[in-house]
Amino acid sequence: MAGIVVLMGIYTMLALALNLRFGTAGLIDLGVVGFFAIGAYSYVILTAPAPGTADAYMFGFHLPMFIGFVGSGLISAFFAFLVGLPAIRLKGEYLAIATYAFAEVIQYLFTNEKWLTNGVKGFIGIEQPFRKFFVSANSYQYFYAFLIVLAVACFWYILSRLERSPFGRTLKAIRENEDAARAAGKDIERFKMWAFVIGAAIIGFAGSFYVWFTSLVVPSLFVSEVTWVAWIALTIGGTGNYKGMILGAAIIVGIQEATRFLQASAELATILAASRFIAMGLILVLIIRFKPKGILPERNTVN
Amino acid sequence: MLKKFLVSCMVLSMLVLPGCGQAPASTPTGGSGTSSNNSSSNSGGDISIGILTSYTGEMGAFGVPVYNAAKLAFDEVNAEGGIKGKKIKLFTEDDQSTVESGIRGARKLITANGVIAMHGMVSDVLLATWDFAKQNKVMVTSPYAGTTKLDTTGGDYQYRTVPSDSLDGRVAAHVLWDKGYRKIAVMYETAESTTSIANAVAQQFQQLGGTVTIMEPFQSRQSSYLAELKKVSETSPDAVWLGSGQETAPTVLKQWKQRGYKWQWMVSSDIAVPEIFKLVGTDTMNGILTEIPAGDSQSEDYKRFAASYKAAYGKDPGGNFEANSYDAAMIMALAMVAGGKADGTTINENYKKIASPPGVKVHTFKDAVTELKKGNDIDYEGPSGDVNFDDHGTTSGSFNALIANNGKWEQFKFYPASAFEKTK
Repeated sequence: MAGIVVLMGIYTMLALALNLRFGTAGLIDLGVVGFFAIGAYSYVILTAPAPGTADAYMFGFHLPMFIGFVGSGLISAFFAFLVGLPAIRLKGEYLAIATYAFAEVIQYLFTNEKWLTNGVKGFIGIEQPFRKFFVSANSYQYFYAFLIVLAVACFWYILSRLERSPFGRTLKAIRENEDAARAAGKDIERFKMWAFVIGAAIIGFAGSFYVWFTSLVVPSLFVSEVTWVAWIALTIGGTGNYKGMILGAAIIVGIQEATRFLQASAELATILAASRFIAMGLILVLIIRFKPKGILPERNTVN
Repeated sequence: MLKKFLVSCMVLSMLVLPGCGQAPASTPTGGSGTSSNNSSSNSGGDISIGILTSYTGEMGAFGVPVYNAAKLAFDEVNAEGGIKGKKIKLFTEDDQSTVESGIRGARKLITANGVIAMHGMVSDVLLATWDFAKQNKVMVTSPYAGTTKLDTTGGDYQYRTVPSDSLDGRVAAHVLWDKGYRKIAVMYETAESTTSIANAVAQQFQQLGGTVTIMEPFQSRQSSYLAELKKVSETSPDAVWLGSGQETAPTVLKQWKQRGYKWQWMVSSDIAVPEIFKLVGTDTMNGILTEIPAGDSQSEDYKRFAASYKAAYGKDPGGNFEANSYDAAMIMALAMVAGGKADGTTINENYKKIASPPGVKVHTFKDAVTELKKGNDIDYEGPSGDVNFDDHGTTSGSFNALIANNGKWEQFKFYPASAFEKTK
């Protein structure tokens, strides 16, 4: 159960960040997993011990966890800035293609640049925060779930504040009508860039949390499915509504896990594994058909 | 504003609390892993064991056979009266051949089903779940996790009835050499296990005196491998070793056929499943070589196992690590009998002892129990070979060299474990 809350929390973070980018600022971003991977790898490379004889990587800075955590967000944000320099001016689907390509490139890069990432071997046995205060792994996972909930609450608070601030209102104005916003004297590229970079920072932090959950990092963790799950959570929950993100991620991870509690035999397991994807698809279709704005649609701020 | 924030914090923590509340109910006693395991073994009920394996994804073909083979072993144990009167009950989870799903499945098996051991994981999943399992005193075993990372670290709450990938690669090189090939190329998917086997193949083949014309890595699940195949063909090798999985290899092999290349293939054991004939086509597959870590298919143990497997599931075993899975499960049961208790710690303490010399050689659960009752040490041997473990929980392992012939893998040479001990 605690494990489910952890995953819900991590996907909520991704959905929250995506909501800032797409829900508030209207940036179609298909590169969520790229920044997720950068965050995870930044954390690991900053905190990993010096390489052993069997390892191909060259840098293991062995810094404290806290620095690794902060680093994961900052480095992810920095890469978002670099990507944003050429890409942020792209409109709509063009940005989607650029960010998607970016995420693919990142996965290939992490698979092949052994000197940096230890290649497909990756890193294993990653320590978890505050683990030494707990005797059993079982009680620790409840603490970790609590930590995740706390982090989600923080991100949610910051983002909802941002949404109501002049910054958030400007982003929405850009989303609704770019030309009008420009006519009002707003530097829209700068605003979009900020939304892009802040989103990347949150995704980067989520990467750290994910590493603590999996206890290992290999390139095969960071496939485009992560991006789609974040998008589905966003769509189900309600684009533009930050509370909806929590609901959306809870529903999608909940469905995936619910099927685990039904099965008994090996024959059934194969069928249920397939039913997971069917259930996800069905929910998505139903939502788009009957509640196209999501379960918790964005509230109309203009009366 | 702050008030709203506090309220939402509370709502969020409420979401977690039902989880905390449910934990004691779902695990036998809740609290720490040790106590829950002890109580599950003392409370008179069944012994829960989890099969966490791949029913879907790149390794999807392995799931059902691995589960069935382990179930066969446990069914035999249950038919003999179980362990101290308690029956073994199986729970299973799909790891979708991915680490994330593997961790989810492991957490569910351990915390919700209270399993004392888990079996059936592929390398990545095994590495990712091992630590959590160990902390909960849950044993993990695998019939096919060959990763070289366990060569020097495994053996504590973790055993595998399969040799390391480094040995796998060495055998592949020997098979090619023995078949008379002197100039080979190596193509491999950039995954952990295929990369390490590929390196071992190349290294060993060169040591034998052969030439490796090219090492060609590729990404999994692409729509075309024509560029890679062309590169390999330009170096004109006599044979090519291919390390890949069940979703990617068919594309490579079909495109090889389309282009009319003629070299001899040797494929990694992950490709050598019976389903591959359907995916690639019997014609294309004919004559392709492979080697799999397995016991001699001519041995009495294997024949008996194959007969009861066929009787139970209506299919011949082979190519899916069934024998390895059967032995892993059987040793697990025997370890509990030997230790006199049904928990992860007991299995861990006795796993190596009852399957490695010294001891009376036994081949069935019944004989083993008889010998143990007499107070003798035992050395279990099963359909996958002599299953002796080294200090890091890996079997020495024998290998079968197979050739594809009209939709079936046929053994053409057997390499006993002793054949490779010297070359280590």
